[in-house]
Parts: sequence; structure tokens; C-alpha cells
Amino acid sequence: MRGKKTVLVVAVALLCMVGLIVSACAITPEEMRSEMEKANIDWRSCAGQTITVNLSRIPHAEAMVDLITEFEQLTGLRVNFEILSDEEYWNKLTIDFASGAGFFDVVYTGNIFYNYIAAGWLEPLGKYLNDPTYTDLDWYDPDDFWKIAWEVSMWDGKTIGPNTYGIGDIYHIPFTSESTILSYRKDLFAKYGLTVPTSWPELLDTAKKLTRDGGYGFISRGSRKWSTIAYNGYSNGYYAYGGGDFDQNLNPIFDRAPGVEFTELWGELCRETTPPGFLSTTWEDARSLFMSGANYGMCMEADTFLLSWENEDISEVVGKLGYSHTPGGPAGHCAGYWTWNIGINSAISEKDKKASWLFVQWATSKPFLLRATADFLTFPPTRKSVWFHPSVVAMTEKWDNGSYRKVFRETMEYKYTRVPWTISPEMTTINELWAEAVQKVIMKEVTAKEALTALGKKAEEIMEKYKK
Amino acid sequence: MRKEPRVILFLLPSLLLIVLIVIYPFSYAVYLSFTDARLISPSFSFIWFGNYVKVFTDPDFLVYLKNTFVYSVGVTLIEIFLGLALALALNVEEVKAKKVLRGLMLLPLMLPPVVGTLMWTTIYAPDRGPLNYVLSGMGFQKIAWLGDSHFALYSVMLIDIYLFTPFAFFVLLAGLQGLSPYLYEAAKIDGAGKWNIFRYIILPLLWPTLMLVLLIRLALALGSFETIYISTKGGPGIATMTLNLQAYTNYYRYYHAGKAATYGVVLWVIVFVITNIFIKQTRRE
Repeated sequence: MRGKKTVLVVAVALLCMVGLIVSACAITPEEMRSEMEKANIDWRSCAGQTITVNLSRIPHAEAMVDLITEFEQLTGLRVNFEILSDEEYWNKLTIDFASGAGFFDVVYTGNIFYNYIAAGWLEPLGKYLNDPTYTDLDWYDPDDFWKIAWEVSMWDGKTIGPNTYGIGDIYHIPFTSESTILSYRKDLFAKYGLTVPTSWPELLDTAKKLTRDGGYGFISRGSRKWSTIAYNGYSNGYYAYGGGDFDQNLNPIFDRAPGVEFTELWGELCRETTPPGFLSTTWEDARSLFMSGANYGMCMEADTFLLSWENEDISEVVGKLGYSHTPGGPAGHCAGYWTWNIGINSAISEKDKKASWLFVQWATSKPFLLRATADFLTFPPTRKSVWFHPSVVAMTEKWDNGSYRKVFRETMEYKYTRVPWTISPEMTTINELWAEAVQKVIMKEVTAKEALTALGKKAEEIMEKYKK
Repeated sequence: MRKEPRVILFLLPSLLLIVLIVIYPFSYAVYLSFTDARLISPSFSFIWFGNYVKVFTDPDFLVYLKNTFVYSVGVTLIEIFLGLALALALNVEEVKAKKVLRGLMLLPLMLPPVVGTLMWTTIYAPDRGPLNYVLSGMGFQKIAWLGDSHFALYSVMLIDIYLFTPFAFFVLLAGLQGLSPYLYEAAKIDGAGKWNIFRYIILPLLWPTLMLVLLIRLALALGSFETIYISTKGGPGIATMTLNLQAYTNYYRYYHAGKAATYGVVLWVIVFVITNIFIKQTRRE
């Protein structure tokens, strides 16, 4: 009996150790190297060259920098990095692209930058993907990416209209994505006897009930920037209500009733339930405020922030959060979808493009993205194999007893996740003007109808050149 | 008078530098302002005054213009007033700690404007900033200094005043110290009080220095960028949007190089006219 008990204890201990190893180290450096070498390509085909990679300071960049020695040993390439803060990054990238200087070989982009594709600044990657000299398609497995992530990264550079992504070539590979979801404080909901809102009027009412005792019902980014419209609760609700930007003939339709109705609601929500200074709140502020432990009842932000919010080392709200879809509307659900992508500067030499493709391929491969997600918190992953890897499942299932995984799966399966705007090179411009218009509504300087009508006039002027 | 050809040769490097870094970029900007140049488009066309029409007929243009003038004239006048007051106060022999106080005045000048502005955005932070902490402790409501359109422009102006009052202070202090003390003594002997000494002796003698500081500060304030950009980016809405910031926004956000250049040229014309008026006025005096 004593012998059997000893065996049981040892077996349980061994299992625990295995579990710890699995969760602490999804893929070891040796395993990663071994996986990379399985690709039926000559990684050293560009050995001796040097490439320059321009990155914004996000976890994936940290992963690349930390693991770069492994890449250099694998390929014989030398990599120089320039890592900048978000604002600086986009400005410097614009200068390099517009000047044609070609200082940067590999760059970060995002799925909204269809203007980069239209301008010819990004190198089409299809020819490298389909060249067996440079890519082993079976190993790289593009089908492993979430379909929506791959499609929003494709465009033909000229077809303007709703849902015209997914055609043409792929210009940048997605390595992480973000959907806007509703995160809420379960403890505050319980304290005030509230339930998770399933409609936008309910959400407004709930936010008002949470705005008391020094607390605020709602927080998200509110600053005057394109991402405040394009990747935020505003666009989720606007399109769920049936709002639109342009019709099939590229005539503006911002001021139609559904969009106006939602914009008025959003204005009231931001005016009455957010903290002072909301209009200068960035996504960094929203993330920090929500995990500060102060009484912010709900946050509508990118699901990538869950990594911070569920991190015991930095968050005061671990275990207190619940997750849900943003409410639907008469036109269904919408979850704005942003992907971080990595691409190649078209202004560089053909020799450097080939070397750059090896880097892009390595940085978006299955083994690298698994390591980046598990060890460097590049999240959420754009590859299905990474999302369903035991270590990632173990990490994310702890978040509100798996509710986030359910939300993510439903978002992907039910196709709430989409790019709802008219695809054109002017998306960031129009979203910037839109952010300005919504701020005026929040400040009650104009009504939603006035703001969206004025926006429509400016947008029509911008889109005039694209009308047939 | 015989002109030495060698003089031209000695001047050539400086002239070349001025052409390369001043005349050429400026001329190209003026040229761009007459085109529909977009960063995302490889070609562009000459559209005459199309950009200028769009700029001047923009319903928000008057707001940008108003913000530009309120900001630049406001900070300039306050900085000169404060700088002069502090210079007069710290030029008095009886002030024992004046060397220490003058040293403290150096601190804002030593701060890069970017750092100083970031420091103030922390001070202004609505929920966690020290300013609102003190106000709420005194029973007042918290204010969104940079997020409320009623306060944003004045809050940004305060940052500029903090950063650049020392400049006015030191220049005016140097001007004061250049005045002969015998003038004050003679005036005192004649029975002049402090106000009359200031009004009839100090101010007239200091006037050229005062005008110089005013001109420099006004020209720089009209083109002020980093303070506003870092603190509010022209928001909330367009509450702090100035002509300079619109040039930046049109270039980097809307990729419209032609329109960005137009805002730049309009601002240059304003600065050129104002500085010329000042220079002529100063010469006349």
C-alpha cells in the first residue's frame, strides 16, 4: 500500500512538472531551430547581406529583437533594428516611403493602410510566397492564418468599395490582430446589481448606473485619431446600427438616420459616463486606467489588452473582469478588426527584397509566432495553430473561466470580425476627419446630424477623384 | 567705390547654405501649394489657387486663425510682462537671494520643450494629476485641462509661458543691467518716484530690447508646434488647432502635401507681414 502511494505521488509530481514545462515553455530554442530547418528552402541563400528593420514598440518587436541571434545564425544575414514609439514610427515610415529613400527594408504596417498599397510603397509578396526557392508552402502553411486576417491584408490597389479586400496580391503578412470587445468589472456589476448589456441603450443605461461614488461607467480611447473611429466601440456600434460611409457610387451616407442615431448615443455615453479628459485619452491611457483598480465599470477596447489586465505583476483587476461581445444592433454585430502586419519596402533593391522575405517568413512562421505568443505575449495570434496550442489555451482559459475564448471563437466563427468601411486609399484620412466630427458631437458643439453631414461633404471632396 | 570680386567669393559658401536650406525648400513649398500633390500619388498637377480656395473656404479656417493669434499674441504678451516684472524685481540690489532666484529661472530654459510639455501633461492629468488633486482637496471639481474645449487652449498657453518666460526674463535683465545706474540716481535726486523712473527712464531706454524680445517671441509663437502637438494634437475637436498644426496634419495624416504647403505659406505670410511692421516701427522710433 505504501509502495502504491509512493508511485502515485511521484506520477502526480511528474505530471505537474510536465504541465509546468508545457505552460512555461511552449517551444524551446532548439525546437524552434529544428522546426525552421524543416522548411525545404535554403535559409542561407542571402548570407552576408544586411537588412534594416523598422518597428513600432510592441511585444512582437521585442520577440524579434530578443531572438534575432537565432535568425542571424540560421540565415547568415545581419539585421539592424530601429524601434520607435507609435506616433514617431508612423511619421518616420511615411517619410521613408514618400521620399523613396528605401532606408528601411522591412516595416510594420496595419491592415488599414490600403494607401500604402495604392501608392506602391509595399512590395507584393505573392511572388515570394509562390517561389519554391524562397518559400516551402507546405511548411509555411498560409492556410493556418485566420481567413479574415489574411484577406484584410490583400488588395488589388485599385478596386474601391465595401468588402473589396481579399482580392489581388498580399502585401503584408499579419502577425497579430485585435478585435474590440466589451470588458467589464464583475465586482462592480455585482455591487450595483447589474447585468451585462446586450444592446447599446442598455449599455448607456448601465454606464450611467456605474458612474457614481467617484467611479465612471465607461472608458475607451477618445483622442482625435483615426484609430478612435476605425478600431473602437464607436465603429462597432455605428455599423451594428446600420450606419455606413459611402454607397456603391461613392456618395457619402454618413448622415443617414441609423448612423446619426448611434452617434448621438455615443456622444451621450462619452459625455456622461467617462472620466474628465476623455477626449485626449489614448489607447495606452485607456489600458492603464482600466487596470489601475479605480472604478471604471466597462471598457471597450482591443482584446490584446487582456494580456496586461490579467497580468498579476501590473494589474489591479486580475480575476475581476468579464468579457463579452460589444452589443449588436438592428444590422447585427460588428467587431472592428485590426491586424499588425509586416511587409517589405518596394523602394529597396531586388537583392534586399529577397533577404527581407526570409526575415518576414521567419517572423511570421508557426514556430516563431508560437514563441512570440507564449513567451513574449504577442497576442492574439493570427495563426490558428498558435491559438489552439495547449500553452495558449491554458493561458487564455484562465481569463474569466474561458469567456474570452468563447467571445474570440464566436467573433471569428460568426464573422462579427470584419472591416466594415469602404476600402480605399483614403481610409485613414476619412477616419481622422470622422474622429474630429465625433469629438464635436461629444462636446455638444454640433448635433450628430450636423457633424456627419459636414463630414460627408469633406469626405465627398476627398473621394471625388475615385468616382467613375 | 570699387567692389572687390574676392568679397563675393568669401560670401559664396554662406549664400550657398542659405539657398540650400532656406530658399530652395521655401520655393519648393510655395510651388507645392499650387499643386494637388499627395504623398500616395506618384504624379501631381498644377491647380493654381485651388488649395488656397479650399483653405480659405474651410468652415474651420477662422477657428485655426483665431487659435493661432490668441495663442501667439497671448503667450508673447504674458511672457514679456512676466519677464519684465521678474527682471525688474531681480535687478534690485536689496534682493539678497537674487542669484539663486536667477538660477532657478534657468531651469525651464534648460528643459527641452518636449520634456517640459510632457511634464505639464502629467500635471494636468485629470484623474491622477497633482493640479486636480489640489483642486479636489479644496472642494473644487476636477477639470479636464487638456480635454475640455473651454480650457484646452489656455492650458497649452500656460505650458508655453512656463517654458519661455525665462527667455524674456534673461534678455530684459541683460538690457536693464546695461542701463547706467547714474540715470536712476539723478532721477531720484530730482524727486522722481519708482513709477516715474520706470515710465520715463527705464521703459524708453529698454524699448528696443523689449521690441526685439517681442518680435522674436511672437514669430516663434506663431510657428509653435511641439507644445500643442504633444499636449493635445490640436484637439479636443479643433479647440487647439493652429495653422502650423494643420500643415502637419495635412501632410502626415491626410498625405496632402499640396494643402500642407498652403498652410505653411499662409503662416509665413502672416509672420512676414507682422515682422516687417515691427521692424519698420522700430526703425521709425
